[in-house]
Amino acid sequence: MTPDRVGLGWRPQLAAGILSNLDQIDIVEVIADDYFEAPAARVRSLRTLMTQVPLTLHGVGLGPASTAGIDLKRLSKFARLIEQVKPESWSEHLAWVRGGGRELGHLAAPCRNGSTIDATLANLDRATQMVGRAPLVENIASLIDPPASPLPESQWLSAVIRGGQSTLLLDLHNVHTNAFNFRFDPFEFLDALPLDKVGAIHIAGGRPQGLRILDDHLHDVPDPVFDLLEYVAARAPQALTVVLERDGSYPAMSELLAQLSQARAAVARGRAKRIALSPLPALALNGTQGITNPAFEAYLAKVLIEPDERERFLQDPKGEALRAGLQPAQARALEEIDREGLMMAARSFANKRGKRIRGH
Amino acid sequence: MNPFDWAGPEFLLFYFLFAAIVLAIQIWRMNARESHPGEPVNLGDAYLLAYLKGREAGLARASLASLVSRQLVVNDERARLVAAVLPDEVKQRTDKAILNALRSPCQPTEVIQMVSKAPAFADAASEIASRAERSRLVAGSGAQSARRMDALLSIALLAAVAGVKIALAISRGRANYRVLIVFCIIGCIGALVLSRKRRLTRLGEKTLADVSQLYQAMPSRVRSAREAAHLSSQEVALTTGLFGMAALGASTLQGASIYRRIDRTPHRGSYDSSGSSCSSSSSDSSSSDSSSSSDSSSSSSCSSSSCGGGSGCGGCSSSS
Repeated sequence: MTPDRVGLGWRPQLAAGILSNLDQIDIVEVIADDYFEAPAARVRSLRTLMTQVPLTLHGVGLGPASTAGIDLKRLSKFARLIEQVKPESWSEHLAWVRGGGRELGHLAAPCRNGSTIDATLANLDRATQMVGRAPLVENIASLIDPPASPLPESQWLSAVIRGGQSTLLLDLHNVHTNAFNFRFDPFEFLDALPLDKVGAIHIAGGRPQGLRILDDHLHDVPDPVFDLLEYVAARAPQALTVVLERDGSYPAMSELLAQLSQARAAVARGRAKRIALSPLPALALNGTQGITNPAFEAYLAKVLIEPDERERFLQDPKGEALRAGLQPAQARALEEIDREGLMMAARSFANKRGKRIRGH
Repeated sequence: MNPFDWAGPEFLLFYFLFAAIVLAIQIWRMNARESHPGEPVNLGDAYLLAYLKGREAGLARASLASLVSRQLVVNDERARLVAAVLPDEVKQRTDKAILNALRSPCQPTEVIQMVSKAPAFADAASEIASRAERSRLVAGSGAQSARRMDALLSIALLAAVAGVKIALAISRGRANYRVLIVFCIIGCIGALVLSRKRRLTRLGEKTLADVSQLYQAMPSRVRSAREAAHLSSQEVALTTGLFGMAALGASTLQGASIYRRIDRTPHRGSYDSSGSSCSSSSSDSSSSDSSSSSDSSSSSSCSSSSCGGGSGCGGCSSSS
């Protein structure tokens, strides 16, 4: 069997630390979106990087988990970059990132129903055709429990993985975060996933925000995430690639390398246990055909982005949704929205948008 | 259609285009030959990259920055640089050479020049240069002779065509070939310049451009590092090697003031008595090398170059 690998998210600030410690780093993951508009010399530097270490491209802006379809312009940029760099794999988040022409500024959890499963599979098919190979797709963390979601997250993810060609990029900090935020058992969550279709794993750290955890990638990987890694390594029969993500507040490189060692140790502990995977039950998706459509996502995006709209919405969710032209069933779903999560997610997205604007 | 039958201006235009094509082919052949990789290159090798970017002086800066970040080179009470440990306590030969050279204190502004000329450092640098040549990043003797051969071929072609035309002109009793001779000489000089101009190979230039892209955020990482412990000496050396000592001097790191002083370009005869290396060395001469006192007796001998080779000026007393 190919050996398990442990790597690090490529961040230019960590370049020297990464390239001078390649004996401890098996792979790097590069944020693809940073290179969509880059000059040719910068793209070429990625090929030079590939002479030193295996490389995978990771997208953050396609938003394939959307009923509004995938952004083809962005997808073609992604496809061109993959053609130029020829990474060993590419990946995207199972999220929606825009609605009604508005950019959320970050990854939003999709409504978990039959409509979004079908739309996501169609979008991933399109992406696979355009790029020439299927992406790995990543589960995301959320501050808001998305409305119109009759399916638990594990079932929604299973349906997408089992229904298409993509393998799962399993983000264990996102599992840990969502388990904490929405009170479920992360180990049971993992049991419900097709762990034999995990193509890669992300680990990261976040911080508590009120009664929830914010997956900000600015902190060390917490111990429960290593426990989840060990759990997956004990069950997944295939070789695993584990990537540590760190997006800022960079510590000394030695600290990041220590976390990579911890990850390696967790995988080794899991491998030593070798637990056979039980077959997953057939998915029961009947009756979950959802009410999510582009108009619903567009309205939700407006509520998430515009403070005035959000204030009006929170005073009378159903009435405002109906006045915005949504169907009664959609308005009813929004009436039960996770209000605390909505406010936290809106604040988090606004922060992200602000940083992006300042960054430019 | 025989160009040798063309009249003066038409032939000169032809010759100009011919020369341009010959020189373009020379460049193309050189680039094609020098794009093939040699031994694998480790892009995390700070000293190799520093040498590629800045030759021996660049290597000395990177090595010195690394030593300062590890506090193996420190300030003495007169703000001169001095080794804090024995050379045997480090592994890299360049580091050893610098520590050896700094067994006696030296003014920061003079240390790079002094170190670059120290024989032990030159030996260590030549080892890195050989590695760069084996990786075909620097044009070694093989590449240089291939370049010379190409240049000779270009010169032969340019001279042959010009010679035939001049011979024909003479046989026809014409003497208007002076401009052609000038064109020929310019073309031949161009061929020679092309063969000598570049220290790096095409691969070396491309590699250096690519690593500059890959490491482009290192100066900002250094500036934003909250404390020195967040940066490894490797990161410090790489940043210095590729972006210069100024990238460290702009930081709030411990030792930033040392980096700033090393980065300061020395000016001949600009030192005043209060802070000059000369005055400090003369007062220091009793405790260090006697040669420093003789250097300090004359302001003209106190230029930065007088530190070369490890002889004393401004406290850079011989330590080899």
